[in-house]
Amino acid sequence: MKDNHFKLHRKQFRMDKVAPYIFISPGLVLFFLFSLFPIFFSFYLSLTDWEGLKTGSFIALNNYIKLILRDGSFWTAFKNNVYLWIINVPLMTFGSLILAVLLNMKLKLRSFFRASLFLPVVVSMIVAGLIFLYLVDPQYGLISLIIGKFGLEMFNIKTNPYTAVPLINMVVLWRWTGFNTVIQLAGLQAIPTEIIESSIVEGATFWQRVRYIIIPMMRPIIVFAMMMSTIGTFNLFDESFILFGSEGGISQSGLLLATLLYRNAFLYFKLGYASAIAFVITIIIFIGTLIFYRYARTEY
Amino acid sequence: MIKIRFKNTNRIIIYIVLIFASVLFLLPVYWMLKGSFSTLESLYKQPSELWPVNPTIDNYRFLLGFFPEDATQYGISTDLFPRSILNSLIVTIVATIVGIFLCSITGFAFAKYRFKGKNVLFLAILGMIMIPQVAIFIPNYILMAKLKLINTYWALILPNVAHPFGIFWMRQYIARSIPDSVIESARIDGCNEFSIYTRIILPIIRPGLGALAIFLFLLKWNDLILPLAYTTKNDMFTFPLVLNILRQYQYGNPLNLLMAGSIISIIPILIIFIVAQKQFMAGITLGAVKE
Repeated sequence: MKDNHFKLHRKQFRMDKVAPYIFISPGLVLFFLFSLFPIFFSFYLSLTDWEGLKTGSFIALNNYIKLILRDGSFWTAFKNNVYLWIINVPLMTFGSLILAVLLNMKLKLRSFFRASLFLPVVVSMIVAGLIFLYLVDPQYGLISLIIGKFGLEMFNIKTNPYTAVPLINMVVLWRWTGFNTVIQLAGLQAIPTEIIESSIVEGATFWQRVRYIIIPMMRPIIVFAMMMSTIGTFNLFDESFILFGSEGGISQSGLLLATLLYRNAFLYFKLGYASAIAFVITIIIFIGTLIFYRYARTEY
Repeated sequence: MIKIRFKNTNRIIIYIVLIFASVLFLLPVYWMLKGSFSTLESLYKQPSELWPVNPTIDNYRFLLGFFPEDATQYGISTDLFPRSILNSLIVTIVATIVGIFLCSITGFAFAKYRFKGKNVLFLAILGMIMIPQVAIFIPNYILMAKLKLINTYWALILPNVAHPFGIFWMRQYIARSIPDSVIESARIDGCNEFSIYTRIILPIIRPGLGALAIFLFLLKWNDLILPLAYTTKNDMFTFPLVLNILRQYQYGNPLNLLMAGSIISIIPILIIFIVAQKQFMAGITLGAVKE
């Protein structure tokens, strides 16, 4: 008996150590193949001037120098992305937090509200983009119709360089707020209801609850949402591509970093240069996310 | 779910805010719905009508393969339409199911075990989240070609199934929601490691799994770039690809068809969302573990 017990203990002890390796192996194999390896290969490509058909030669950091010092469209795109970042991250994160708190309460039509917030995420961007263009069209659009009733005339949002990025902003907010709300909702579910209920009994108002209970307890999720927003903002492609095409609109006012990447890779076939753009975008995202990581460290 | 008694004024304000938000968000979708039942000419009428005078379901019938003669003008044969919906469904559903299990078991390992290289690997996964998909696209294509996976379902399923974000999300979620004591006591009770995963972890993280499932489903369902590059044979096309072909019709956007197509796209997702909502409602909180 004693032998068996000892054996059992040993066997279980081994399983304890071996299990994690087994658990992660399928995921990791796929990860290495389709995520990690392509990164390194892409970085290698960025150091060449490969243009798809003829073999490229190694040109080291020339692509990067060309990009940062001589490509005006890079800085236009960068400026546009940063603008979107500054506006969207706080708006999206705290807007969706409040919405999630509201939607976590017992309300009539709750499922309807949740579904309607989430629907834009789900709609194919090709069609959504066409619809937005249609809605803001100065002749046929719904907005023009409504404004017309007040005696005003609609200007062309799409061709005005100052409104290009706000238009993208509008589409992004429309499309992704529901998504963020769902993430925050999942996090809110984990807050024990007793805490909230007892705070109500003690007379806390809505805003007090939000400020002193929900935000501290949701801090990891909030930081996470901000990081995801950051990554998403600098990766934005569909929205601007459908609205403004690969040119980025009039004087490239609607150009985003990812559009630049797409243009160089799939239109000009400058695959080496495009890989350099990809790498620079990655670094920008990395720096942007690092800012938030500082707050993620102090978890409760 | 929080049961709260409100002063009436607060309650009204909340409803107004939510209704206003809903209307804003639903407006473009409503337009799509309306357009899907209209004919192409009626869409360009001025002033635009709020609901089609002569509603028609012909757009839907076209997309489901009913009008083979008309379709040839778009350069594609109509029996491919239902086939493409089927392809999209297969790819997306398989990727989602495999994905949630893969990500949760990997996240579980990172959250609750110690093993060599854990921190480095996790950092690598974290780093991967930040890479734009377009960046790894070209090398991935070369890899797929070498593995002879072009034009198979696997080419569309595999690339994002062990999604770094999914692994990260699961790891955070599991680390937050499951105290080590639960796992320890399960081990003492003689539970083997895999059973810990299936019988303890999985039930507790159900809301998180639901959110992950929705995320993975969405990633695949509307994806245009991946199928565009990795499939060349018509019968392997997915639905977004077919919509894109219609959109590029040289004589102008067939808006009515496109809108009907996007409504069709929404249906499976709505179903999933309603099903996953029930998971959210089940809301297993931290408190449940103590019972």
